[in-house]
Amino acid sequence: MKNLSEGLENKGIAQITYYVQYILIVTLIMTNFVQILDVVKESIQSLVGFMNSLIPIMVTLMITTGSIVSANLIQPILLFLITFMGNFIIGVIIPLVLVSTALGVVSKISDRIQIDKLSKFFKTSVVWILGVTLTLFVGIVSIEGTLSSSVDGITAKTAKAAVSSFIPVVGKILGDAVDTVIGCSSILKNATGIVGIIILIGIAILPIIKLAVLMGVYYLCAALCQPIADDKIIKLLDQMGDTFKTLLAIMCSISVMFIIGTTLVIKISNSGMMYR
Amino acid sequence: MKKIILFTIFFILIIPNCILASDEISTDDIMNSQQESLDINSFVKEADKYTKDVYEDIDMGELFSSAITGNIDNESIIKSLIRALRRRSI
Repeated sequence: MKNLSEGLENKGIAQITYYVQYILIVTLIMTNFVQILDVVKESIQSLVGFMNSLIPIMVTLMITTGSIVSANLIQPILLFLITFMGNFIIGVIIPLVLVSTALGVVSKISDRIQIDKLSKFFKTSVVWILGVTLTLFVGIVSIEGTLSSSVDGITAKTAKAAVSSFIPVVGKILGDAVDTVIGCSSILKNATGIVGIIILIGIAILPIIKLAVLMGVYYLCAALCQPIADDKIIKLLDQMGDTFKTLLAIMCSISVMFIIGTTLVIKISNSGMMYR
Repeated sequence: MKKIILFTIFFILIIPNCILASDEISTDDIMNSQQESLDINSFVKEADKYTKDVYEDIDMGELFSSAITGNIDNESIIKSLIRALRRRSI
């Protein structure tokens, strides 16, 4: 195609032919990109929707295991962070990726207009924002949980000791019965958490694999086309590979964030139980 | 007076055993009642909707039961994941 456009004697027509070819390739790539973007958005919405139904049940089960302080501290933070992260990624991060990709594509059309750096800036910002939010999420949830689980454990132990010693005759048995009920709740909570994690993996795995395959294909295409194709097309394919890599990072980080969140909820009340 | 003492001793000996016996029997009952009161079954049904495409052969209710007993079949989960990936790639 490059030879075809270069073979034309009129330079203006040759350039227009090149642009038409470039726009055709961009249209093909963008159709694919928009489809993937929809898949990513749907998956994030499913992840957030599922977490919004999982967390209240987990927190209720936490309360039944006696982790009242942990549940009161964690539920608002966790629900806020999950909903906020979902909306933030769909409303801010993905549009930033879109803008960065658009700028990258536009900057490769002409040699005169260069907005490559702006595109790179947006992409780097996305990666940094994701990293910071992931760290904040894990940090806040784990610190809150570690502090409150000790309080819960000691409170429950004190209450059990008081029941066992102050209630005559049936005090010890009552304490044991409470322990049995709490143990059952704990088993239910752990089972719910495990099922939740399996479902989270199920929701996230297909888009992640899809993005990974697309990223590989675009990089491979860029590598294979380098000897034969125009430099701008190679850069475009490379740019699209980078975009899919960013989308893959977004999907991985949000699913890992939710899996860590669920695991921490399971672990926090389990560590409270250790005090008994 | 004697009767009162005898009754007290009787209760002290019998009540703990009764409570212990009922406690041993009803671990499953406790879990079932907790499942019902917390409406975990509807959560499991809701979960089924999200993963129909991926875990076609796995019933979430069964998975939840196996998670309670600690016998999750990892192989079937991995197999269904691979099957879903294969189906999508073709």
